[in-house]
Amino acid sequence: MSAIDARDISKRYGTVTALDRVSLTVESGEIFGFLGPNGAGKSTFLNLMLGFTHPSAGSISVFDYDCQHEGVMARERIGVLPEGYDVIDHLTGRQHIEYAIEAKQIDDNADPLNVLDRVGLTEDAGRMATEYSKGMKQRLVLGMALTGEPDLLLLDEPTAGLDPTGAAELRSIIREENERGATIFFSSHVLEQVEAVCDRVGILQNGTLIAVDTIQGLRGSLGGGTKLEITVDSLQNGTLNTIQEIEGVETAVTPDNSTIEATCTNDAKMDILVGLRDAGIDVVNFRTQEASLEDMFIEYTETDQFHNNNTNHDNADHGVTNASGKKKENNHGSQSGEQSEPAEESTAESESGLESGVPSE
Amino acid sequence: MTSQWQQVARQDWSQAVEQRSVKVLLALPVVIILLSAYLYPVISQSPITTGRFGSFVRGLLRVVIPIVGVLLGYNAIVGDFESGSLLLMLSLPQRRRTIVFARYIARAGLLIIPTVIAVVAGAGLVVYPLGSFEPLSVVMLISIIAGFSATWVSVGVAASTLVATTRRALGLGFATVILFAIVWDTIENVLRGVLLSTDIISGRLPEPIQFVFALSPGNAFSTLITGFVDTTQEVTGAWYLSEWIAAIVLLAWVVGPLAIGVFRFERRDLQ
Repeated sequence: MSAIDARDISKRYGTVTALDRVSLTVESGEIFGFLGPNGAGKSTFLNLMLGFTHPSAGSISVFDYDCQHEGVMARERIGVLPEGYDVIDHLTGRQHIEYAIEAKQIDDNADPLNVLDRVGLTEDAGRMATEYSKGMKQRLVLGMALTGEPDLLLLDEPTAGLDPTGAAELRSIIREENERGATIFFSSHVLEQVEAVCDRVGILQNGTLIAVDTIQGLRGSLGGGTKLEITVDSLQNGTLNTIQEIEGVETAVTPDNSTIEATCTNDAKMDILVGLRDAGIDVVNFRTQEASLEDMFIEYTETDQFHNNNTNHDNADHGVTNASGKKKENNHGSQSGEQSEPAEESTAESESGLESGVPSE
Repeated sequence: MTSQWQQVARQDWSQAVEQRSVKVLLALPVVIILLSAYLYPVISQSPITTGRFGSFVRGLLRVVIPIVGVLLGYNAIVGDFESGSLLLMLSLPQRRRTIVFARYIARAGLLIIPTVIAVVAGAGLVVYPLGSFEPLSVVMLISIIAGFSATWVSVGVAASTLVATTRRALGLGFATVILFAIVWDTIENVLRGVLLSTDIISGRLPEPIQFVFALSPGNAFSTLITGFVDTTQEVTGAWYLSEWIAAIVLLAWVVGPLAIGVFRFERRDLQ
């Protein structure tokens, strides 16, 4: 039995396609990261899972309960930290947890203070939740989600409003819950968070699932994935082209007048530095880093955009992507069994501002 | 363990009673009932009875209760929908209709309880020192006012489930009040005036047409008071103009708007 089983699920709002035939299976016990830029359709997917929205086609189930027709049964097994919520008027923090205990009909007289302690709100338990800061509200609703040991934790942008300590605590709570046996599904556009805890990730772009893979798998599919940041005394015309022509270099951009950022295979690093010296450019400083998920993510989504639009609007300012063709192949290479459609088929309407532009009726 | 709707209703009740606007709103029918009960023995001819007091207070309540009921109800769902706390509640294993029903019960109770207390206290003012006490008329008056209150809270809550902003819910609620509390009777009077002046009718409208106009909550309310509360009057006309049919009409007004609201709300996309 899968924790989440989405089959060709689509959602259209009028002529706008928010989700296009997404199929995704998350197994019990996984920590799954759901990535995508704002407006990609992440929230639509979660809203379908919670029964807030009805699908235009396809189905989605949680532990074999259909989210549309058996929504209450499905939600009995889910702890939810939704996006765009507000706390309930006139209830204290403690009463919120009690509300969740009663709504989930937990029989043994669960102590709200246990949960409040876990999310660090014991001292503020008696205050009205409407007076809480954004971060405290986020902790409180996380506490409501944790109440009753759900089998699936659904976290929509869980780090929003949390300070770095809070985010670290969230990660350790996620790990604890996972060790207890819970499946974790969380959506984010803050990629470090996902990278730090997830077993697998799915990348959503323009309503289409463009990749589902492990972090290692994504990294592997993107070549060496080393990022090199070089500070030079001054740039000259043609410097970028020189670098791009070096074998093993995937991209080279110049964010400002004295910095070059290049991604390349591990072997090409020295070649770049040598090439710069040969061109008569003084290298002031350089550092390398392994490609983070963020880089990969940007690479995935921008490649897709580049391909769909057939124009590179970043071209003038940020340099040239000389390997877009190659990366498109990478896209295909990383598609796993669960993936639905290749990026090219995402519809033209679904390109921009979906979630923000969606009518609420 | 309390059931889910009680929990929702309790929360809604406790947040509502703390609001000053709600207190002011609820004071309105209470003051009107008590003031009417104080003035009625002074300015009316004898016999002074609790039954005839029903007819005395009816006119004002026909205006005040629709306004107060809609104002109590219109915010029940859409307010939390706008803020996002409705999403938080619905992410828990709760049905949408549970929340709508619970909030309806909380807000209808909020209007009915003080109104009932006011009627009981008002009956005291009517009876002491000169009036006569008719227990059945007081019980019937309480029930009919409660039903009329339940109708208009139902209209307000239904408006709250049907639209996406509090402003539109208020607009829809008040449009209903204006239609059935003002325009409805005006149409009836104009129609009657036209038919009288052209000698098509003499006296009252034909009974089938009377029946159509009797379908508004306000007219059902009046018919019920004439038929069940005021022992000095009686309802005349065809069987379908009787107070028993009026009772069914008022009941339909309690159930109908809420049922439509719940039906639509259950099927709506909330995001």
